[in-house]
Amino acid sequence: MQWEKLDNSERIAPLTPSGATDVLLDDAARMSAIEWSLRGLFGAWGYAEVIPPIFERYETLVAGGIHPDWVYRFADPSGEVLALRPDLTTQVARVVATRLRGQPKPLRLFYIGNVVRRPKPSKGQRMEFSQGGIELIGSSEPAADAEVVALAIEALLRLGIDDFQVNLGQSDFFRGIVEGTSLTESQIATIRERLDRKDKGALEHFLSDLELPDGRSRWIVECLNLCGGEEILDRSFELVDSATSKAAVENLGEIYRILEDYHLTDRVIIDLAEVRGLGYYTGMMIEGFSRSVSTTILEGGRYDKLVEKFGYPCPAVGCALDIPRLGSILQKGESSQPSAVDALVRFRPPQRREAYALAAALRTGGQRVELEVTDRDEEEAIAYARQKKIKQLITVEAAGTRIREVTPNDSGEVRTWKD
Amino acid sequence: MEGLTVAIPKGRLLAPTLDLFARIGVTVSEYTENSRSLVVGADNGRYRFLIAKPLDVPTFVEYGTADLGIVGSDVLMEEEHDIHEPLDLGYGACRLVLAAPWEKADEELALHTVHRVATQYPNTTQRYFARRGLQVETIKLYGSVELAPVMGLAPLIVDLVQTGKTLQENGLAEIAEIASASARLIVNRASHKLRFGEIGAVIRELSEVVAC
Repeated sequence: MQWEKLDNSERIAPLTPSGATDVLLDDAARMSAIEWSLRGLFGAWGYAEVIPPIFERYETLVAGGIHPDWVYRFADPSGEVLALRPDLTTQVARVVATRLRGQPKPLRLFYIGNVVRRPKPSKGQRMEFSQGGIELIGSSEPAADAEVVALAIEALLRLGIDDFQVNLGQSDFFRGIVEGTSLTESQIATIRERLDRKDKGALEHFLSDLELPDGRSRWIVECLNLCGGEEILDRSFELVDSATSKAAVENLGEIYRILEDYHLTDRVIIDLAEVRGLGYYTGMMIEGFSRSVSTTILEGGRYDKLVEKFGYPCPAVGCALDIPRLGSILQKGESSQPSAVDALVRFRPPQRREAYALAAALRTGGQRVELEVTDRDEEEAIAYARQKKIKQLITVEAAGTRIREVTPNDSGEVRTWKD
Repeated sequence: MEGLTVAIPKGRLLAPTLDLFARIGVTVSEYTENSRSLVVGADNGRYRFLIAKPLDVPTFVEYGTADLGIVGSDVLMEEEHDIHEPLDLGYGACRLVLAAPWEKADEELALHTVHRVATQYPNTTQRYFARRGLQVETIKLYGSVELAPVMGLAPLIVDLVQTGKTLQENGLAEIAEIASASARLIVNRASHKLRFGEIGAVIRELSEVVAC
């Protein structure tokens, strides 16, 4: 690539909008491979693919509880407000409530698709990325939650990702603590925000002015420590005296015991300190982290009220994996270039037919083969092959077929094709 | 297991921050005042310190380059970062104030027109005025903000003060306090989940020495 100095008189607008990314070559190959791996695995667990549109009516997207700040919206020529989807779960809920309403339950669906989210201003964050997700619709049993968790973990393991952990929370736990109190919506939002930032000092300061009944302030502050192994379940159950919160802990406990039978609990952290999550979660919440990217790689949860928003009450649970981030994890562990071409086949015009047949035979044998389409000479072809890390240069001519191994420096050993 | 990486700020918070870690037994003899190295290891090998500009500390932590960071709350207020901030360390206390030339302070306080405000904190300034329904034009400066009213660039400034001496010396008076600030411990969200026990222990140790 040629790098030129930035000329100060240059005022040309950038070619791509901030937050947009071209995924190219090896990165694209890696992402496609992840997508196909997910398709295979989801299919093996009985999930069927859906492909919803990239844009929706704005109203539909926010009806489910997605924060309007996330949504990229625009008007169509008739003035109707449309939006690019910030997640696919809301769309799946719409589909389930309408066209798939009559399908036998439970219904297992998966999707692979791009989402568009408005980035925080001035941060240059990505605006569009792809997700692979599953939705298990029509069961409110803990076995359904556990299946989603197990399949998400299985997907990461299948991709060869090992340095991850999955945190399980329960949205009813916090709800149970604040319900039945005189707290206003905005006070609850402040508490949530401070819990989310783990800002103990500010949280205590805010709570000290509120005079909450029967130890609730202490429960809220204690939430900050409710993250760890199985023992957190007992501790949380003892901590709170709210039927809703206790039921939430029991539900999480059941899910945990089912995951023991999947032999997957070594990957699972109980995290009742987490109060974040998309607006529509109503039960278990799942979030996955990897050491090699220091960020969220999968998220999901139970959303029993979302399908109902579209006119059909139906419990559901699901989760989505962040494909580009899985790609960066895999890239760090890669030793070689995944997509190098094996051979470039060049020929004299009279031998075109034989050259094409040879290329076809090599491809059938699983090799990646390029055919020559320019009139460059052999040395130019070698230089090209070297640059592209093509392993062999095969020349088909009247005298026979020659193979040159393309090495990084010398011109390579010449062999004559036998057979 | 790999040690924890801590981003710490150059400037006025650096000395008290190194002192804080010394009090929990983490010393850095590798670092000297004139040293130019930006990454230094603690003597016990369990920590690595990354020395950055204050405004960059939350960025290193948010992206996971550092697991922990120390930074003034004025910086956290100015820019939104997706991080945890579990502990107020108390030191480096100062105040963010709105100030104007003393002879005009009352007049500026009336705030009846659109004002120009020079500041290193345009976002915080905008938020402060917006909450009161006032529109201001902020001018971003990178230092010596007191110059703005003195030289007529802007009649108002929003700036960090410790003693108020610099304001006085430049003939400025404080109109209002916008926020108080002090050093904060911040934590990368994923690190905090992945290394909950380890980071929890550091937070406890630090909160104990801060409390006494």
